Amino acid sequence: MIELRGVTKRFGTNLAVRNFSFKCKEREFVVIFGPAGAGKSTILSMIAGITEPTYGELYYDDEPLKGVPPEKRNFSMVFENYALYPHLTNYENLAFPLRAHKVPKDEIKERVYKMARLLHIEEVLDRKPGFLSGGQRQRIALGRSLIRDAYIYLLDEPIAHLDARLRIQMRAELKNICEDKKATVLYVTHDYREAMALADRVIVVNKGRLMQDAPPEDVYNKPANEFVASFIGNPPMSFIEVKLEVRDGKPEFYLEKSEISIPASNDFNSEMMKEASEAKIIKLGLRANRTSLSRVQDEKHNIKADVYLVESQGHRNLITVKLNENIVQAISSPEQTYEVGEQVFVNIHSNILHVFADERAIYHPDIQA
Amino acid sequence: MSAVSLKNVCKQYGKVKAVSGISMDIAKGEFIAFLGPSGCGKSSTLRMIAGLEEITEGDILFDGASVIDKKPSDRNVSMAFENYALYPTLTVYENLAFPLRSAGKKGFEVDGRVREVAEIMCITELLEKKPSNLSGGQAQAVGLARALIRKPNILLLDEPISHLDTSQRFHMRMYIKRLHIELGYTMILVTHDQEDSMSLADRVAVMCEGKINQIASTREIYDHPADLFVASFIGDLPMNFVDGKVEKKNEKAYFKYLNLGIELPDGFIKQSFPNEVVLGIRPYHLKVHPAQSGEGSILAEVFVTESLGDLNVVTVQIMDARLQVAMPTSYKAKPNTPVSVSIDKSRILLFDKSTGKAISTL
Repeated sequence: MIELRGVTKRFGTNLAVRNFSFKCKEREFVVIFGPAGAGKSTILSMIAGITEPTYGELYYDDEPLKGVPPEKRNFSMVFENYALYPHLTNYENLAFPLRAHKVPKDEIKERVYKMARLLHIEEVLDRKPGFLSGGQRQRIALGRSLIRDAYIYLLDEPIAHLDARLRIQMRAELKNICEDKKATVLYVTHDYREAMALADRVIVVNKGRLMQDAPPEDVYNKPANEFVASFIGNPPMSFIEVKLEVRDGKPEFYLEKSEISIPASNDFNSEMMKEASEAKIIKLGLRANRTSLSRVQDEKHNIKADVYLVESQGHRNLITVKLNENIVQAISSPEQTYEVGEQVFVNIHSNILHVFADERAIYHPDIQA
Repeated sequence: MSAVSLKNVCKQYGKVKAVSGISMDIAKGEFIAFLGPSGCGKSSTLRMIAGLEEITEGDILFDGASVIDKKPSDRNVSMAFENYALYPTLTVYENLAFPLRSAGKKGFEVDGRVREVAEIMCITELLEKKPSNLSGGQAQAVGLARALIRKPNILLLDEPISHLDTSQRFHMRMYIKRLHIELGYTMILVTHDQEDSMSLADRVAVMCEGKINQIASTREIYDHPADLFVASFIGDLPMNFVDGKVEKKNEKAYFKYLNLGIELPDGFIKQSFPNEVVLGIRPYHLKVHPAQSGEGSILAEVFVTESLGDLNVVTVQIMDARLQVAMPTSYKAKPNTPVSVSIDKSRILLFDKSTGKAISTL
């Protein structure tokens, strides 16, 4: 439906978006995810027609969008700064797009109340935007953009200013509303859980570049590169720098200046071996929720490390250990505490290790059942 | 003697009572977090401790002596701000040297201390850079270094990492926590992010509308929140709440929601209950089972399943109530699937609906 081909946007000397290409199909909920300043909002602005790309093209249903003004594109957009009409009541703000499309009065009333109910803003309908909290204003803006029938909904961090509890509620309602409308949505966020919960597909952006374009489970379980791996997950993936060696015909990863050696997985094939041996830097990646600790060395807990930090997350503890100069994180139940400086053994086996060659992922372990 | 003692501290801005009677004692070397939503009074409280705001009523003591008549520069406290507040035209070195030079120190003394702190904070390679060339996390590290340069008695942190992106945040949290372990400063953090407070603090003071609702260790605040507000604020997944009442029958107490009865732990049997009660249970203390399995006592229907990568959150509908359940990623259920839900009885919390206060077991 929407396609970007080699889109680049330059502001002065700053390349905000670089050679960006992706497609968004009808009824897909695509999340554009990345840190602040990555270029996400710029991409959305170009799709909306508010800015034109410096190079590259945008297409809608294979028709070029160049020169088509925003109002003719029939894309509905929510801005982070709401842009509500201050002189109209909230009811009127929600009704506005429907009135503009000459929807009958009774239907307007029904649709406005339905939307307001879903977004929990019924009680403020007769007030003006100036008398609302930031979170309420944000929901009016979101409601106004969703109430009309548009080809595509462009939502730029539409629930970022709500408190955590409300954000999680709104997320579920939002997904429902979009499914009901059979909507095509492009949604920008920097919250990875939001991206995971809402997306059919995630487009990860960093410094204007496309980092990965994949369904959420793949972005989490098979991150394409170190950036994606370190940006998704609570906590982010831990990395250990290693060197590759072949012992008895089998590939092994070892930590320099130590005796620590971890055999590669059985399905680490010759192609992967080649990529790894040609790389300048090889890193092993592991997620804290698959890493455990023990005070005693056993078959599972094989690698010695020192406890560096213990952090409470409420439902679990996050234990950071130091393995030579590498920092690795593991989880433990809240009752299990460790002392900083204590020696422990970490579970580091090939079945939980991702392999990165010069920041690019070359091997992912099987997903835990 | 406490490092910091707040005695009935109040702050009024015109008609608005931003802080209404805060009292607490902070021990030397303790890491305290003031946690609450925007507008709760946490920053005002921090600024009164720093001396940047005058106190309207009450007293603030450092090591037993009142400081409310002392200027900030005479209190030997240091502050790191959300927006770093680094001088943009000066290098990192000059930014660090500034507080020392302002205090009249010169030459080798300044250079020695700047390099010492830069090494502790691992920012030696940044010394010749200007703030505009630093990443958010680096700028924050410099802000912290500057706060430590004059060896304050107390280090105050005003939302130092809220706006950093995910991976910078994790990094800085580790950094600040290690700083506390290695240097042992008395530290007071202000944040609206419950994860920051749980990760960093020894004790958390949860604030709402100018008052402290609860001060307790992170473990206590999570396991035994004092009221509905604290219960709903703490936890990466929000707590589930159901309105109902308590009935007693045959030496047992039950929470009743419409025609659903949930047996309560024995500790509640001797307790007396108000008419309207709220049951609180965390998503991690519920489990979803297939409807026919015979496990789980509560019949429900799946509303939606969200895959969050490391876990799945299943929202189930039980009559008019919706509860969220944390399940492993292997669990997937389509909407409208009938299921049965089991609850970890020992983790059930009860609150008085009208006052919001937790009802304890006896």
